[in-house]
Amino acid sequence: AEEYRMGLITPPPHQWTVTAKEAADEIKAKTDGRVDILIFPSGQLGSEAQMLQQLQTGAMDFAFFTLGEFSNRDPNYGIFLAPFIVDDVAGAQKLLKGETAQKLLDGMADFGLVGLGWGMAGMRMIVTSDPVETVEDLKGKKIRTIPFAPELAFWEGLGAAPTPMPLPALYDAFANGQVDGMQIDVEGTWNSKYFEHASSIIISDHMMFPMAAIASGRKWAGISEEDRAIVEAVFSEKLDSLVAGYAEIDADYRKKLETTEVTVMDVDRDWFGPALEEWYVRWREEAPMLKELEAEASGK
Amino acid sequence: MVGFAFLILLIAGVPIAFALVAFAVILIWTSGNTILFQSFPQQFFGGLENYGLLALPLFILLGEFMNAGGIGRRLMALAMALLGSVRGGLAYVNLVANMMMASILGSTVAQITIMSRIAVPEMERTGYPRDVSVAITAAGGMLAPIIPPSMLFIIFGVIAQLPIGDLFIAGIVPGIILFIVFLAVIGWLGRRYNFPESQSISMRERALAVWDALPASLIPIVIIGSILGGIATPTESAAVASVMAVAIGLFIYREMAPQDIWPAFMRAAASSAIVLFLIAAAGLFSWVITFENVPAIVSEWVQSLTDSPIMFLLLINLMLLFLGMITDPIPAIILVVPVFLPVATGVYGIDPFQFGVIVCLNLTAGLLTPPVGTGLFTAALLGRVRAERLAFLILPFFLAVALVVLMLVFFPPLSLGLGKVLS
Amino acid sequence: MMADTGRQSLEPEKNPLLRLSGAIAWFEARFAGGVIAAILLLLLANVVSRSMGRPLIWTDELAVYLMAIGAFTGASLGVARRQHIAVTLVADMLDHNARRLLTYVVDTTLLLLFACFAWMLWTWFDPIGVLSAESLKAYSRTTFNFLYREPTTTLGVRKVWFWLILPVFCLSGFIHVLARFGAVPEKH
Ligand code: NA
Ligand code: NA
Repeated sequence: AEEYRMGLITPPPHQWTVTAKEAADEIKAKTDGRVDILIFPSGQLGSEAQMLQQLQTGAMDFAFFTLGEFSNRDPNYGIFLAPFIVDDVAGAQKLLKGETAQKLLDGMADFGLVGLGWGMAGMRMIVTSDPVETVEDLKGKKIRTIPFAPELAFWEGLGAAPTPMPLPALYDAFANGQVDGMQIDVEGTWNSKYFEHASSIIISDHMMFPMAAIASGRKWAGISEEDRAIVEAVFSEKLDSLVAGYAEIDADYRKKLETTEVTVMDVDRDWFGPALEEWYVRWREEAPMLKELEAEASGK
Repeated sequence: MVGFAFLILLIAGVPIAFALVAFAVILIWTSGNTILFQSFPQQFFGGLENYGLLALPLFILLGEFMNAGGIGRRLMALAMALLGSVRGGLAYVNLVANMMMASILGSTVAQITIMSRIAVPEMERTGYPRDVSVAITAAGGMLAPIIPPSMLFIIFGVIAQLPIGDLFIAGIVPGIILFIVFLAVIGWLGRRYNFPESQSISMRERALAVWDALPASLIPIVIIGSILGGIATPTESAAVASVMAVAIGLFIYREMAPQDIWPAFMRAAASSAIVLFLIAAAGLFSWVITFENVPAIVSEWVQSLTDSPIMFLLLINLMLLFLGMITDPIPAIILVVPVFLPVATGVYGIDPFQFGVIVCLNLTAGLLTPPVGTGLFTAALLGRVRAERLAFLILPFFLAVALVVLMLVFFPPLSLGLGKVLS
Repeated sequence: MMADTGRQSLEPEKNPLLRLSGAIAWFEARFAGGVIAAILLLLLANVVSRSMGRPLIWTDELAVYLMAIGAFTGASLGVARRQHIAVTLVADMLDHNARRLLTYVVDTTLLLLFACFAWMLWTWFDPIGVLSAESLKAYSRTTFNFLYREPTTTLGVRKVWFWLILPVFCLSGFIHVLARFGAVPEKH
């Protein structure tokens, strides 16, 4: 039996880590212990940049990554962050298994990786400390985001000031007013208690938060074809149920947030106004594959 | 085997940071995972790629500016003005001034360095035994890393991925408890060594001292105010406070000249680099042992010993006590936390803030214990007392620290931070 | 004073290596100080720009990389000044001859470590392999070494510029140890 190492930045109780653990157990059973994957959560083996390098050399074998390291290298990986490219989790699930998604997985060979499939976290929404009713109210607000170019562009387009900040610092920063709001999901809003200092919870579901399941290109070549098929099948199945599960997770946490005193409101694409179209015009240039994704999403 | 080589290197006097790097190299070599050498440089550099760590050089810089600006002397005068003419008044004044210094400085050694020059001569002049005065000053230094800001909390927060602001808040109550227990120890010392009465101070003198210390007390207010006011993160607050400290030193106290600024930057750079490099080396060390799955093995072993969180914490404290004797707190923290924090929180359900405060307090005492204690030797050197004598005189304060550590072990709410307790 | 220092002289006039090391250390002290000043300014710029509603996105990342560069610079300086934290328990108990022996052990270990690190850096930066490859992309594809293509998140420059501090640290650290090889440090 050979030991393999799989790294994640999420802590043990997070859905991604739980899914990784389940996949590892099932793979071990189905390969009769030939593929034994040890899980290293919480960034124990390093940040995503550091893990990427270890995957490239073949020191590490598997990982779940956010889009950051990819979209930083090739803007086409940022197209999943297109606002309202899907309406809900079901739409996301379909798109993540589509042709464009597969093309992006194949393209990971350029980074020395094998793309095994896509997962995701909850749909992105907005939490603000001041009451917000129209998109105008977001103007000039400091909104905590992840420093992904497409996400920053989205917020700049709305006239807000996107403010990157490490997640552990966010609660204090929000409570003290260093940031006025954040782009997040309902699960995080509830679990990290951001709602305690919020006036508005805006369920916009405006953006997906995809996750890539990847393997080291170097190490993948050394696994027997039979075992590779098992690994691929197990990951594919587990990722699918992870994504599907977020429909329920999002709904559950939304209900929990509704029990608080904070206003919870639903907004749709029109609420955001013309800034969205400008975003698309710009990103169709920067990331040519966006057009393919749009065509696929509109069901053409 | 590899651990043995590591110990040999340490005992031979190889700097701890380099011994950690050597350990990582040897472990990679002997485990056969030589592929890790290809990630080694990136991982080494990556150990410092952490926003929270920026607080460290900035609070060191703040300490340098405070030191140059004559703020310590004013706080001592303020403490003197606040306390009446109790028996042994100056001993309490020393501790109160230390408490105030602690709300500005984050390091025991820095605080002992400043306070030894201010407090010890004054106490000796008014008839206190010098060795006891030095002991009280050294003990007061232990407040520095518990009362925020704190170097140790910054390092713990970075390793444990906890918000540094919250950790700072978690230190307030234990710091105050420690202060009160130290007051009691001084009261006992006062009777034992027959401390002299204090001279009385006129109201005018008192008012003057308070007025003179106002600018100095602006520093902690700026730190806390800029964080709570939403202007700055805890890290940035040190930057803001540094500018304030320079302004006070230059324009209000006028004890600092513009040409003192640049050397302060160079000193802060040199001393923070030593600590940061140690952290980078520890990052390598913990990466390699994690890769070899050592923490999981240790965690299983600890679990086989006990399943009570209290027993676990007591065992950890015994180990820390030993570690604190043979090394300084910063290397000890970076050796212990990556291995035992996941066990503490994951297996025993201990709150990471409680764990952090206990670890930091325990290790702070290690700074003043022989055979290796930078704080002890600094105080002994500056106060011209033999280190053995000083270690003996500090003993009651160690017992006080041990008492507070036990309180923190048995009453978790004490170290969970004011905010959490209130809500 | 350190009169008895083994075979090497600690007087710069007689030891050109020590002169070189001294010059490097002089520069390192100032460079590291400048880095701290730059970090201070970056964080202040952050505070000011955020309170004006126009937060700068790149300051945090730059400050962190500068801190790493300053740390490695200062660490090399710390080697020259023998300021790194060490367990001196045994050394402090020994007589001068035994301490000199221990100093040889320590310095040899340091030299070996720097040599080892130099080898890792040589393999990682692989200057010959990169120069003989047709393109960086082709190089990464065949070697799985992506060092030269690694981007930063918000700065728009390659990360390799910051990583260059590692070979500099390695070389200067080696020179500092070599210049003082076997010179017994003063007791604590
Ligand atoms: Na402090
Ligand atoms: Na000690």
